[in-house]
Amino acid sequence: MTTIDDPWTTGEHPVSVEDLQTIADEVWATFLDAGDVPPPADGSADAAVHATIAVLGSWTGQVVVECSRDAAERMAQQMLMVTEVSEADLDDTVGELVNVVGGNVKSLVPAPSSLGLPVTVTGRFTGGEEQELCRVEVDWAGHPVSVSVWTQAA
Amino acid sequence: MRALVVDDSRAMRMMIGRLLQQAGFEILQAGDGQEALDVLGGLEPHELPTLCTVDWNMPVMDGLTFVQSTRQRPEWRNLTLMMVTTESEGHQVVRALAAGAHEYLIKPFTAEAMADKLDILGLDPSRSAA
Repeated sequence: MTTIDDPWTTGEHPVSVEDLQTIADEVWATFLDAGDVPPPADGSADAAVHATIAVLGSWTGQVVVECSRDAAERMAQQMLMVTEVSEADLDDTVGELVNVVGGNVKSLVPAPSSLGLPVTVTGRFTGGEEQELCRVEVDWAGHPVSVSVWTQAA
Repeated sequence: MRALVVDDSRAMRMMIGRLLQQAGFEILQAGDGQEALDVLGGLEPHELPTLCTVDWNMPVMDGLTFVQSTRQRPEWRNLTLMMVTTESEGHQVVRALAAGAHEYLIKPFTAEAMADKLDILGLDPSRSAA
């Protein structure tokens, strides 16, 4: 599990790359045993899925989990302990993972703040007008999973 | 013993349900607080669960409102309520316990952490039988 980027350049931010890496590593290690998961097949990273969850309050931003569709399916199989997963299962699993990461990120930002509900979408997260504060990567059985925190651009 | 697992995530309901099944519980499920109230309301007194695990952030009715609602119903006074949530700040734990929750487990949690909470609550038949 490797930190890949720290684009923080200015100002005080409530969530450090180290914080985010610790949270992400703990969530994947606790909920998703990578033991029997096959590595990604060639071309499997082409289709992406991402889930977002908003943190609202004294500090406002969002947490994003992004991975290949192949990884999302395997994570859903693992959490649900089934071999066939539906689109709803896939959305639910990635959404719950961002929910758990988001809840732990929320505990680091200034209070009061509240957590929204997760939204899972097919495709890559583009960020829109938001600024990426930090990003880490979890290597789950060879499947890269990106976890990032974004806030409104100043 | 029965347990009602209240969480809007099916994946999380399955994960918690598996752990509680291993501890000897029969599992009921609900996807939000209102559905959980409906499940409880449809049960005869002898069918009521011993334990409810309750997520905090859910659509329709959140977990804190569910806890408050159950505590207003004398016929459900024997329900043991355990929050299982990402809400990890101390003031949130205090709010949940003040509302009537008996225990609090923060996600992500290990199987051992869940077993420890059941033990604290005196609800782990597999441990007491050992």
